[in-house]
Amino acid sequence: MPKQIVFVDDSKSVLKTIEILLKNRVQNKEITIRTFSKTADFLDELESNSLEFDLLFLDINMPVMSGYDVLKKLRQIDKYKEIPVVALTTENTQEALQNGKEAGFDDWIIKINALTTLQKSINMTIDKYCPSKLSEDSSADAGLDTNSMMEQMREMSATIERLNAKLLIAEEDKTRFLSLIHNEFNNPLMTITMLMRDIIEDKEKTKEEMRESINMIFVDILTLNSQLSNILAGAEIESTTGVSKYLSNFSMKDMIHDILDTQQFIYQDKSIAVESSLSFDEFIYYDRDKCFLIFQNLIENAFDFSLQESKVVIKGYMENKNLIFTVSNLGHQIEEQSRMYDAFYRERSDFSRVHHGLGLGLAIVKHLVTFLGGAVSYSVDEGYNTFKISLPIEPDENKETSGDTSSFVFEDEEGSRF
Amino acid sequence: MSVSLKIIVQEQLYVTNEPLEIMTVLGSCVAVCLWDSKNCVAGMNHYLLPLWNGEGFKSLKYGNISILKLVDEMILKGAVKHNLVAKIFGGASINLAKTTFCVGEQNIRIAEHILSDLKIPIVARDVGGTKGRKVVISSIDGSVYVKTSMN
Repeated sequence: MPKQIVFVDDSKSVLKTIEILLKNRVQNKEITIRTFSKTADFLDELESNSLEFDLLFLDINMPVMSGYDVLKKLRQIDKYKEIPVVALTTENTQEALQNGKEAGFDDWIIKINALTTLQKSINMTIDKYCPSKLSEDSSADAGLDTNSMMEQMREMSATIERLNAKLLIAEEDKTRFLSLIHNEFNNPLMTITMLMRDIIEDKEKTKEEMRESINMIFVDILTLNSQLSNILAGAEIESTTGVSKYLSNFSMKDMIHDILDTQQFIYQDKSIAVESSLSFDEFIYYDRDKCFLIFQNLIENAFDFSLQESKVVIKGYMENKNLIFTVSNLGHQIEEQSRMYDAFYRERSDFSRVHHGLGLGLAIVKHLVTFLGGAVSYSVDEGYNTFKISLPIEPDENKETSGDTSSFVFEDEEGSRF
Repeated sequence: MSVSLKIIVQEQLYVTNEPLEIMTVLGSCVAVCLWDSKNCVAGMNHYLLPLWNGEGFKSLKYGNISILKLVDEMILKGAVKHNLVAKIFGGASINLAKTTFCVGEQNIRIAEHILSDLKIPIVARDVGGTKGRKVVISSIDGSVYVKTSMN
Protein backbone atom coordinates (compact mmCIF):
# COMPACT_ATOMS: atom_id res chain seq x y z
CA MET A 1 0.00 0.00 0.00
CA PRO A 2 1.65 3.21 -1.11
CA LYS A 3 1.86 5.95 1.51
CA GLN A 4 -0.58 8.78 0.91
CA ILE A 5 0.77 12.24 1.09
CA VAL A 6 -1.16 15.47 0.90
CA PHE A 7 0.20 18.86 -0.11
CA VAL A 8 -1.72 22.07 0.62
CA ASP A 9 -0.37 25.20 -1.00
CA ASP A 10 -2.16 28.17 -2.55
CA SER A 11 0.35 28.31 -5.38
CA LYS A 12 -0.53 25.95 -8.22
CA SER A 13 2.97 26.22 -9.62
CA VAL A 14 4.50 25.05 -6.35
CA LEU A 15 2.15 22.07 -6.33
CA LYS A 16 3.05 21.32 -9.94
CA THR A 17 6.75 21.48 -9.07
CA ILE A 18 6.25 19.07 -6.19
CA GLU A 19 4.40 16.65 -8.45
CA ILE A 20 7.32 16.72 -10.85
CA LEU A 21 9.86 16.32 -8.06
CA LEU A 22 8.06 13.27 -6.70
CA LYS A 23 7.08 11.77 -10.06
CA ASN A 24 9.48 8.86 -9.76
CA ARG A 25 8.26 7.76 -6.39
CA VAL A 26 4.65 7.94 -7.51
CA GLN A 27 5.44 5.87 -10.61
CA ASN A 28 7.22 3.33 -8.42
CA LYS A 29 4.03 3.10 -6.40
CA GLU A 30 5.83 4.07 -3.20
CA ILE A 31 3.56 7.00 -2.57
CA THR A 32 0.42 8.66 -3.83
CA ILE A 33 -0.01 12.39 -3.84
CA ARG A 34 -3.03 14.62 -3.45
CA THR A 35 -2.72 18.35 -3.77
CA PHE A 36 -5.05 21.12 -2.70
CA SER A 37 -4.65 24.71 -3.81
CA LYS A 38 -7.72 25.84 -1.87
CA THR A 39 -7.78 25.38 1.89
CA ALA A 40 -11.57 25.28 1.82
CA ASP A 41 -11.60 22.17 -0.39
CA PHE A 42 -9.12 20.50 1.91
CA LEU A 43 -11.11 21.32 5.04
CA ASP A 44 -14.33 20.11 3.45
CA GLU A 45 -12.84 16.71 2.86
CA LEU A 46 -11.37 16.70 6.35
CA GLU A 47 -14.66 17.43 7.98
CA SER A 48 -16.47 14.77 6.06
CA ASN A 49 -13.81 12.37 7.35
CA SER A 50 -13.34 11.06 3.84
CA LEU A 51 -9.70 11.93 3.41
CA GLU A 52 -7.12 9.27 4.25
CA PHE A 53 -3.47 10.22 4.38
CA ASP A 54 -0.20 9.47 6.19
CA LEU A 55 1.60 12.78 5.97
CA LEU A 56 0.64 16.38 5.29
CA PHE A 57 2.78 19.16 3.87
CA LEU A 58 1.25 22.52 4.63
CA ASP A 59 2.06 26.00 3.36
CA ILE A 60 1.97 28.79 5.96
CA ASN A 61 1.20 31.96 4.05
CA MET A 62 -2.07 31.39 2.29
CA PRO A 63 -4.98 33.69 1.55
CA VAL A 64 -8.22 33.22 3.50
CA MET A 65 -6.67 30.82 6.01
CA SER A 66 -3.09 30.49 7.21
CA GLY A 67 -1.29 27.21 7.70
CA TYR A 68 -1.48 27.67 11.45
CA ASP A 69 -5.29 27.86 11.33
CA VAL A 70 -5.55 24.87 9.03
CA LEU A 71 -3.38 22.89 11.43
CA LYS A 72 -5.57 23.90 14.36
CA LYS A 73 -8.71 22.73 12.53
CA LEU A 74 -7.05 19.46 11.59
CA ARG A 75 -5.97 18.67 15.12
CA GLN A 76 -9.52 19.17 16.36
CA ILE A 77 -10.63 16.14 14.40
CA ASP A 78 -9.85 12.92 16.29
CA LYS A 79 -8.95 10.98 13.21
CA TYR A 80 -6.15 13.37 12.31
CA LYS A 81 -4.73 14.09 15.78
CA GLU A 82 -1.59 12.05 15.29
CA ILE A 83 -0.90 12.60 11.58
CA PRO A 84 2.52 14.20 11.09
CA VAL A 85 2.30 17.67 9.59
CA VAL A 86 5.26 19.40 7.99
CA ALA A 87 5.38 23.08 7.14
CA LEU A 88 6.58 23.72 3.58
CA THR A 89 7.11 27.42 3.47
CA THR A 90 9.30 30.32 2.50
CA GLU A 91 9.21 31.54 6.10
CA ASN A 92 12.69 31.09 7.46
CA THR A 93 12.85 33.41 10.43
CA GLN A 94 13.47 32.12 13.92
CA GLU A 95 10.15 33.59 15.04
CA ALA A 96 8.18 31.79 12.38
CA LEU A 97 9.98 28.58 13.26
CA GLN A 98 9.22 29.05 16.93
CA ASN A 99 5.55 29.78 16.18
CA GLY A 100 5.48 26.68 14.04
CA LYS A 101 6.86 24.52 16.82
CA GLU A 102 4.32 25.91 19.24
CA ALA A 103 1.47 25.44 16.78
CA GLY A 104 2.40 21.78 16.61
CA PHE A 105 4.18 21.34 13.30
CA ASP A 106 6.33 18.21 13.37
CA ASP A 107 8.91 19.54 10.94
CA TRP A 108 9.75 22.57 8.89
CA ILE A 109 11.06 22.69 5.35
CA ILE A 110 12.01 25.88 3.66
CA LYS A 111 11.05 26.29 0.01
CA ILE A 112 14.11 27.21 -1.90
CA ASN A 113 14.95 27.56 -5.54
CA ALA A 114 17.56 24.82 -5.43
CA LEU A 115 15.29 22.05 -6.65
CA THR A 116 17.57 19.10 -5.92
CA THR A 117 17.96 20.23 -2.34
CA LEU A 118 14.23 20.75 -1.99
CA GLN A 119 13.54 17.36 -3.54
CA LYS A 120 15.98 15.77 -1.13
CA SER A 121 14.43 17.50 1.86
CA ILE A 122 10.92 16.43 0.90
CA ASN A 123 12.03 12.87 0.21
CA MET A 124 13.89 12.63 3.48
CA THR A 125 10.89 13.95 5.36
CA ILE A 126 8.65 11.42 3.67
CA ASP A 127 11.09 8.65 4.61
CA LYS A 128 11.24 9.95 8.15
CA TYR A 129 7.49 9.99 8.78
CA CYS A 130 6.42 7.27 6.41
CA PRO A 131 9.19 4.65 6.56
CA SER A 132 8.72 2.10 3.81
CA LYS A 133 8.10 -1.58 4.57
CA LEU A 134 11.65 -2.64 3.91
CA SER A 135 13.24 -0.49 6.55
CA GLU A 136 10.51 -1.33 9.05
CA ASP A 137 11.43 -4.98 8.77
CA SER A 138 15.14 -4.48 9.14
CA SER A 139 14.76 -2.02 11.94
CA ALA A 140 18.23 -2.80 13.26
CA ASP A 141 19.69 -1.10 10.22
CA ALA A 142 19.83 2.69 10.23
CA GLY A 143 16.78 2.96 8.02
CA LEU A 144 18.67 2.62 4.75
CA ASP A 145 16.14 1.09 2.41
CA THR A 146 17.06 0.35 -1.17
CA ASN A 147 15.16 3.32 -2.48
CA SER A 148 16.96 5.90 -0.46
CA MET A 149 20.18 4.07 -1.26
CA MET A 150 19.40 4.31 -4.97
CA GLU A 151 18.51 7.93 -4.40
CA GLN A 152 21.83 8.51 -2.70
CA MET A 153 23.70 6.72 -5.48
CA ARG A 154 21.98 8.84 -8.11
CA GLU A 155 22.87 11.92 -6.18
CA MET A 156 26.44 10.74 -5.75
CA SER A 157 26.90 10.18 -9.45
CA ALA A 158 25.40 13.59 -10.16
CA THR A 159 27.87 15.09 -7.70
CA ILE A 160 30.74 13.23 -9.34
CA GLU A 161 29.72 14.53 -12.75
CA ARG A 162 29.58 18.06 -11.40
CA LEU A 163 32.96 17.67 -9.74
CA ASN A 164 34.43 16.29 -12.93
CA ALA A 165 33.30 19.31 -14.87
CA LYS A 166 34.79 21.51 -12.18
CA LEU A 167 38.03 19.59 -12.29
CA LEU A 168 38.40 20.28 -16.00
CA ILE A 169 37.88 23.99 -15.43
CA ALA A 170 40.27 23.90 -12.48
CA GLU A 171 42.92 22.32 -14.70
CA GLU A 172 42.51 25.16 -17.21
CA ASP A 173 42.71 27.70 -14.41
CA LYS A 174 45.89 26.10 -13.13
CA THR A 175 47.55 26.20 -16.51
CA ARG A 176 46.53 29.80 -16.86
CA PHE A 177 47.61 30.72 -13.38
CA LEU A 178 51.32 31.04 -14.07
CA SER A 179 50.82 33.24 -17.10
CA LEU A 180 48.31 35.19 -15.08
CA ILE A 181 50.81 35.78 -12.30
CA HIS A 182 53.32 36.77 -14.96
CA ASN A 183 51.05 39.47 -16.37
CA GLU A 184 49.57 40.64 -13.13
CA PHE A 185 52.88 41.01 -11.34
CA ASN A 186 55.47 41.37 -14.01
CA ASN A 187 53.86 44.24 -15.88
CA PRO A 188 53.37 46.59 -12.94
CA LEU A 189 56.78 45.67 -11.53
CA MET A 190 58.37 46.43 -14.86
CA THR A 191 56.69 49.82 -15.18
CA ILE A 192 57.58 50.70 -11.61
CA THR A 193 61.24 49.86 -12.20
CA MET A 194 61.35 51.75 -15.50
CA LEU A 195 59.68 54.85 -14.14
CA MET A 196 61.86 54.90 -11.04
CA ARG A 197 65.01 54.61 -13.08
CA ASP A 198 63.78 57.37 -15.33
CA ILE A 199 63.16 59.63 -12.34
CA ILE A 200 66.57 58.92 -10.88
CA GLU A 201 68.53 59.28 -14.13
CA ASP A 202 66.74 62.18 -15.78
CA LYS A 203 67.88 65.18 -13.75
CA GLU A 204 66.12 67.60 -16.12
CA LYS A 205 62.61 66.44 -15.25
CA THR A 206 60.13 69.16 -14.35
CA LYS A 207 58.12 68.91 -11.21
CA GLU A 208 55.00 68.23 -13.27
CA GLU A 209 56.60 65.31 -15.10
CA MET A 210 57.90 63.89 -11.83
CA ARG A 211 54.43 64.06 -10.40
CA GLU A 212 52.92 62.24 -13.30
CA SER A 213 55.46 59.43 -13.08
CA ILE A 214 54.99 59.07 -9.35
CA ASN A 215 51.24 58.89 -9.78
CA MET A 216 51.65 56.07 -12.24
CA ILE A 217 53.96 54.24 -9.87
CA PHE A 218 51.46 54.73 -7.09
CA VAL A 219 48.61 53.20 -9.09
CA ASP A 220 50.76 50.19 -9.95
CA ILE A 221 51.76 49.71 -6.34
CA LEU A 222 48.11 49.86 -5.30
CA THR A 223 47.23 47.20 -7.81
CA LEU A 224 50.07 44.98 -6.64
CA ASN A 225 49.11 45.58 -3.05
CA SER A 226 45.51 44.51 -3.48
CA GLN A 227 46.55 41.44 -5.49
CA LEU A 228 48.96 40.46 -2.77
CA SER A 229 46.49 40.97 0.04
CA ASN A 230 44.03 38.74 -1.80
CA ILE A 231 46.65 36.04 -2.30
CA LEU A 232 47.56 36.23 1.38
CA ALA A 233 43.90 36.10 2.42
CA GLY A 234 43.33 33.08 0.17
CA ALA A 235 46.37 31.38 1.65
CA GLU A 236 45.14 32.10 5.17
CA ILE A 237 41.72 30.67 4.42
CA GLU A 238 43.27 27.45 3.13
CA SER A 239 45.95 27.24 5.84
CA THR A 240 45.90 24.94 8.85
CA THR A 241 45.34 27.82 11.22
CA GLY A 242 42.20 28.83 9.36
CA VAL A 243 40.49 32.18 9.69
CA SER A 244 39.73 33.62 13.10
CA LYS A 245 37.70 36.58 14.21
CA TYR A 246 39.66 39.55 15.56
CA LEU A 247 37.40 42.17 17.08
CA SER A 248 38.46 45.74 17.63
CA ASN A 249 37.03 49.24 17.77
CA PHE A 250 37.30 51.16 14.53
CA SER A 251 35.53 53.72 12.41
CA MET A 252 33.80 52.12 9.46
CA LYS A 253 33.38 55.51 7.79
CA ASP A 254 37.09 56.31 7.94
CA MET A 255 37.94 52.90 6.64
CA ILE A 256 35.74 53.26 3.57
CA HIS A 257 37.04 56.77 2.96
CA ASP A 258 40.58 55.39 3.15
CA ILE A 259 39.77 52.82 0.52
CA LEU A 260 38.22 55.50 -1.71
CA ASP A 261 41.24 57.78 -1.18
CA THR A 262 43.71 55.19 -2.30
CA GLN A 263 41.55 54.38 -5.31
CA GLN A 264 41.06 57.95 -6.44
CA PHE A 265 43.72 57.86 -9.15
CA ILE A 266 41.97 54.89 -10.66
CA TYR A 267 38.49 56.37 -10.70
CA GLN A 268 39.60 59.84 -11.64
CA ASP A 269 41.43 58.32 -14.58
CA LYS A 270 38.16 56.86 -15.85
CA SER A 271 36.25 60.04 -14.87
CA ILE A 272 33.98 58.06 -12.60
CA ALA A 273 31.87 60.01 -10.15
CA VAL A 274 31.56 58.55 -6.67
CA GLU A 275 28.43 59.03 -4.64
CA SER A 276 28.70 57.76 -1.12
CA SER A 277 26.32 57.95 1.79
CA LEU A 278 27.54 56.34 4.96
CA SER A 279 25.59 56.49 8.17
CA PHE A 280 27.36 54.47 10.80
CA ASP A 281 28.07 55.02 14.44
CA GLU A 282 31.38 56.67 15.05
CA PHE A 283 32.99 53.45 16.24
CA ILE A 284 32.06 49.88 15.58
CA TYR A 285 33.34 46.86 17.49
CA TYR A 286 33.91 44.35 14.74
CA ASP A 287 36.47 42.52 12.64
CA ARG A 288 38.25 45.38 10.92
CA ASP A 289 40.66 43.48 8.69
CA LYS A 290 37.98 41.28 7.20
CA CYS A 291 35.70 44.26 6.57
CA PHE A 292 38.58 46.03 4.90
CA LEU A 293 39.24 43.17 2.49
CA ILE A 294 35.54 42.75 1.73
CA PHE A 295 34.93 46.43 1.02
CA GLN A 296 38.20 46.95 -0.81
CA ASN A 297 37.44 44.12 -3.20
CA LEU A 298 33.89 45.26 -3.87
CA ILE A 299 34.86 48.89 -4.39
CA GLU A 300 37.81 48.01 -6.58
CA ASN A 301 35.65 45.73 -8.70
CA ALA A 302 33.03 48.44 -9.07
CA PHE A 303 35.60 50.87 -10.47
CA ASP A 304 37.16 48.29 -12.70
CA PHE A 305 33.86 47.19 -14.23
CA SER A 306 32.49 50.72 -14.55
CA LEU A 307 32.03 52.37 -17.91
CA GLN A 308 33.97 55.56 -18.62
CA GLU A 309 32.37 58.67 -17.12
CA SER A 310 29.80 56.70 -15.19
CA LYS A 311 28.89 56.65 -11.54
CA VAL A 312 29.59 54.38 -8.59
CA VAL A 313 27.14 54.53 -5.70
CA ILE A 314 28.22 53.38 -2.26
CA LYS A 315 25.80 53.10 0.62
CA GLY A 316 26.35 51.99 4.17
CA TYR A 317 23.88 51.91 7.02
CA MET A 318 22.64 49.90 9.97
CA GLU A 319 19.45 47.88 9.80
CA ASN A 320 18.30 45.77 12.79
CA LYS A 321 21.79 45.26 14.14
CA ASN A 322 22.97 44.35 10.67
CA LEU A 323 25.53 46.37 8.86
CA ILE A 324 24.36 46.84 5.28
CA PHE A 325 26.78 47.88 2.58
CA THR A 326 25.94 48.22 -1.09
CA VAL A 327 28.12 49.07 -4.07
CA SER A 328 26.52 49.78 -7.44
CA ASN A 329 28.21 50.44 -10.72
CA LEU A 330 27.10 51.02 -14.28
CA GLY A 331 28.38 48.31 -16.58
CA HIS A 332 27.35 45.09 -18.21
CA GLN A 333 26.01 42.41 -15.95
CA ILE A 334 27.90 39.34 -14.83
CA GLU A 335 27.38 36.51 -17.28
CA GLU A 336 28.31 33.40 -15.40
CA GLN A 337 26.64 34.04 -12.10
CA SER A 338 26.99 30.43 -11.03
CA ARG A 339 30.75 30.75 -11.13
CA MET A 340 31.16 34.32 -9.97
CA TYR A 341 32.22 33.35 -6.45
CA ASP A 342 34.67 30.65 -7.57
CA ALA A 343 38.34 31.36 -7.00
CA PHE A 344 40.24 32.17 -10.21
CA TYR A 345 37.08 32.87 -12.17
CA ARG A 346 37.39 36.18 -13.98
CA GLU A 347 34.58 38.05 -15.59
CA ARG A 348 35.10 40.10 -18.72
CA SER A 349 35.02 43.77 -17.84
CA ASP A 350 34.01 44.79 -21.33
CA PHE A 351 33.41 42.96 -24.56
CA SER A 352 36.98 42.04 -25.29
CA ARG A 353 39.09 42.49 -22.22
CA VAL A 354 39.13 40.13 -19.29
CA HIS A 355 38.97 41.86 -15.94
CA HIS A 356 42.43 42.32 -14.52
CA GLY A 357 43.45 40.56 -11.36
CA LEU A 358 43.66 36.98 -10.30
CA GLY A 359 39.96 36.26 -9.94
CA LEU A 360 40.21 35.93 -6.18
CA GLY A 361 38.27 38.99 -5.05
CA LEU A 362 34.69 37.76 -4.98
CA ALA A 363 35.71 34.31 -3.74
CA ILE A 364 37.33 35.99 -0.75
CA VAL A 365 34.39 38.33 -0.22
CA LYS A 366 32.00 35.40 -0.21
CA HIS A 367 34.11 33.33 2.16
CA LEU A 368 34.73 36.11 4.66
CA VAL A 369 31.13 37.33 4.66
CA THR A 370 29.91 33.78 5.28
CA PHE A 371 32.51 33.36 8.00
CA LEU A 372 31.20 36.47 9.74
CA GLY A 373 27.68 35.06 9.57
CA GLY A 374 26.48 37.47 6.90
CA ALA A 375 25.22 37.26 3.34
CA VAL A 376 26.22 38.67 -0.04
CA SER A 377 23.85 39.12 -2.96
CA TYR A 378 24.10 40.42 -6.50
CA SER A 379 21.38 42.14 -8.47
CA VAL A 380 20.98 44.11 -11.69
CA ASP A 381 18.66 47.08 -11.95
CA GLU A 382 18.52 49.55 -14.86
CA GLY A 383 22.06 48.77 -15.90
CA TYR A 384 23.40 49.10 -12.39
CA ASN A 385 25.16 46.08 -10.92
CA THR A 386 24.72 46.03 -7.19
CA PHE A 387 26.49 43.96 -4.61
CA LYS A 388 24.84 43.98 -1.22
CA ILE A 389 26.54 42.78 1.93
CA SER A 390 24.79 42.30 5.21
CA LEU A 391 26.85 41.58 8.31
CA PRO A 392 25.46 40.84 11.78
CA ILE A 393 27.25 43.24 14.10
CA GLU A 394 25.82 41.63 17.18
CA PRO A 395 25.51 38.02 16.17
CA ASP A 396 22.01 36.71 16.73
CA GLU A 397 22.39 33.95 19.30
CA ASN A 398 19.75 31.84 17.64
CA LYS A 399 20.92 32.22 14.11
CA GLU A 400 23.06 29.35 13.02
CA THR A 401 24.76 30.60 9.93
CA SER A 402 28.46 30.16 10.42
CA GLY A 403 28.35 27.73 13.27
CA ASP A 404 25.84 25.98 15.41
CA THR A 405 27.24 26.21 18.89
CA SER A 406 26.20 29.54 20.26
CA SER A 407 22.95 28.56 21.92
CA PHE A 408 23.88 25.59 24.09
CA VAL A 409 23.55 25.67 27.84
CA PHE A 410 25.89 23.58 29.98
CA GLU A 411 25.27 22.96 33.64
CA ASP A 412 27.87 22.33 36.26
CA GLU A 413 27.59 18.62 36.55
CA GLU A 414 30.08 15.89 35.76
CA GLY A 415 30.52 14.94 32.13
CA SER A 416 32.04 11.73 30.84
CA ARG A 417 35.60 10.85 30.03
CA PHE A 418 36.68 9.08 26.85
CA MET B 1 48.17 21.85 38.58
CA SER B 2 45.99 23.58 36.08
CA VAL B 3 47.14 23.71 32.50
CA SER B 4 46.18 26.43 30.08
CA LEU B 5 43.19 26.07 27.81
CA LYS B 6 43.07 26.64 24.07
CA ILE B 7 39.59 27.16 22.66
CA ILE B 8 38.91 26.44 19.02
CA VAL B 9 35.77 27.26 17.02
CA GLN B 10 34.45 26.00 13.71
CA GLU B 11 36.85 26.04 10.77
CA GLN B 12 39.85 25.72 13.07
CA LEU B 13 42.20 23.05 14.31
CA TYR B 14 44.91 22.96 16.95
CA VAL B 15 47.77 20.59 17.67
CA THR B 16 50.14 20.69 20.62
CA ASN B 17 53.03 18.76 22.12
CA GLU B 18 53.00 20.75 25.34
CA PRO B 19 50.77 20.18 28.37
CA LEU B 20 47.55 21.90 27.38
CA GLU B 21 43.82 21.41 27.08
CA ILE B 22 42.03 22.04 23.80
CA MET B 23 38.33 22.78 23.99
CA THR B 24 35.48 23.26 21.54
CA VAL B 25 31.68 23.23 21.52
CA LEU B 26 29.84 21.13 18.96
CA GLY B 27 26.35 20.78 17.55
CA SER B 28 26.07 19.08 14.19
CA CYS B 29 29.74 19.81 13.64
CA VAL B 30 32.26 17.07 14.32
CA ALA B 31 35.58 17.23 16.17
CA VAL B 32 38.21 14.59 15.53
CA CYS B 33 40.69 14.24 18.41
CA LEU B 34 44.01 12.61 17.60
CA TRP B 35 46.49 11.35 20.16
CA ASP B 36 50.01 9.92 19.96
CA SER B 37 50.73 8.49 23.42
CA LYS B 38 54.44 7.77 22.76
CA ASN B 39 55.25 11.33 21.75
CA CYS B 40 52.50 13.07 23.72
CA VAL B 41 51.08 14.99 20.80
CA ALA B 42 47.38 15.85 20.90
CA GLY B 43 45.22 17.59 18.34
CA MET B 44 41.63 18.51 17.65
CA ASN B 45 39.72 19.93 14.70
CA HIS B 46 36.19 21.27 14.27
CA TYR B 47 34.44 21.12 10.91
CA LEU B 48 30.95 22.09 9.72
CA LEU B 49 30.40 20.12 6.55
CA PRO B 50 31.56 16.74 5.28
CA LEU B 51 32.96 17.40 1.83
CA TRP B 52 34.49 20.24 -0.10
CA ASN B 53 32.50 20.40 -3.33
CA GLY B 54 34.90 22.54 -5.31
CA GLU B 55 33.14 25.79 -4.51
CA GLY B 56 35.00 28.58 -2.79
CA PHE B 57 38.18 27.78 -0.93
CA LYS B 58 39.06 24.35 0.36
CA SER B 59 39.12 25.53 3.94
CA LEU B 60 38.92 23.82 7.32
CA LYS B 61 35.13 24.12 7.07
CA TYR B 62 35.12 20.74 5.33
CA GLY B 63 35.81 17.40 7.00
CA ASN B 64 37.80 15.90 4.16
CA ILE B 65 40.15 18.91 4.14
CA SER B 66 40.29 19.45 7.89
CA ILE B 67 41.05 15.84 8.94
CA LEU B 68 43.93 15.51 6.49
CA LYS B 69 45.40 18.82 7.63
CA LEU B 70 45.03 17.75 11.26
CA VAL B 71 47.05 14.59 10.57
CA ASP B 72 49.71 16.61 8.72
CA GLU B 73 49.95 19.03 11.60
CA MET B 74 50.26 16.17 14.13
CA ILE B 75 53.20 14.77 12.20
CA LEU B 76 54.82 18.22 11.98
CA LYS B 77 54.56 18.50 15.77
CA GLY B 78 56.38 15.20 16.26
CA ALA B 79 53.68 12.54 16.14
CA VAL B 80 54.23 9.29 14.27
CA LYS B 81 51.37 8.18 12.08
CA HIS B 82 51.14 4.56 13.21
CA ASN B 83 50.91 5.65 16.86
CA LEU B 84 47.85 7.76 16.21
CA VAL B 85 44.48 6.89 17.68
CA ALA B 86 41.31 8.88 17.08
CA LYS B 87 38.26 9.78 19.14
CA ILE B 88 35.32 11.39 17.40
CA PHE B 89 32.59 13.60 18.85
CA GLY B 90 29.60 15.64 17.77
CA GLY B 91 27.42 15.22 14.70
CA ALA B 92 24.14 15.76 16.51
CA SER B 93 20.90 16.41 14.65
CA ILE B 94 20.31 19.89 15.89
CA ASN B 95 18.58 22.07 13.44
CA LEU B 96 15.05 21.29 12.42
CA ALA B 97 14.97 24.22 10.05
CA LYS B 98 17.96 23.43 7.87
CA THR B 99 17.29 21.88 4.53
CA THR B 100 20.45 19.87 4.92
CA PHE B 101 18.93 17.31 7.20
CA CYS B 102 21.56 14.72 7.93
CA VAL B 103 24.61 16.95 8.01
CA GLY B 104 25.58 15.67 11.46
CA GLU B 105 25.46 12.08 10.34
CA GLN B 106 27.35 12.83 7.16
CA ASN B 107 29.99 14.61 9.21
CA ILE B 108 30.44 11.47 11.32
CA ARG B 109 30.61 9.22 8.25
CA ILE B 110 33.30 11.24 6.56
CA ALA B 111 35.44 11.01 9.71
CA GLU B 112 34.98 7.23 9.77
CA HIS B 113 35.87 6.91 6.08
CA ILE B 114 38.92 9.09 6.12
CA LEU B 115 40.28 7.67 9.38
CA SER B 116 39.84 4.12 8.13
CA ASP B 117 41.57 5.08 4.86
CA LEU B 118 44.43 6.46 6.91
CA LYS B 119 44.38 3.30 9.09
CA ILE B 120 43.93 5.37 12.23
CA PRO B 121 41.76 3.40 14.69
CA ILE B 122 38.76 5.11 16.30
CA VAL B 123 39.09 4.13 19.96
CA ALA B 124 36.24 6.15 21.40
CA ARG B 125 33.25 8.06 20.19
CA ASP B 126 30.30 10.03 21.44
CA VAL B 127 28.33 11.01 18.36
CA GLY B 128 24.79 11.65 17.12
CA GLY B 129 21.87 12.40 19.37
CA THR B 130 20.22 15.77 19.55
CA LYS B 131 22.26 17.65 22.16
CA GLY B 132 25.27 19.91 21.93
CA ARG B 133 28.59 18.83 23.38
CA LYS B 134 31.50 20.52 25.05
CA VAL B 135 34.66 18.56 24.28
CA VAL B 136 38.05 18.98 25.99
CA ILE B 137 41.15 16.95 25.13
CA SER B 138 44.11 16.92 27.49
CA SER B 139 47.53 16.62 25.90
CA ILE B 140 48.87 15.13 29.15
CA ASP B 141 47.17 11.77 28.80
CA GLY B 142 45.10 12.14 25.64
CA SER B 143 41.87 11.73 27.57
CA VAL B 144 38.81 13.55 26.34
CA TYR B 145 36.19 15.03 28.63
CA VAL B 146 32.72 15.47 27.16
CA LYS B 147 29.79 17.29 28.65
CA THR B 148 26.35 17.21 27.05
CA SER B 149 24.28 20.37 26.81
CA MET B 150 20.99 20.81 28.61
CA ASN B 151 19.14 21.79 25.46
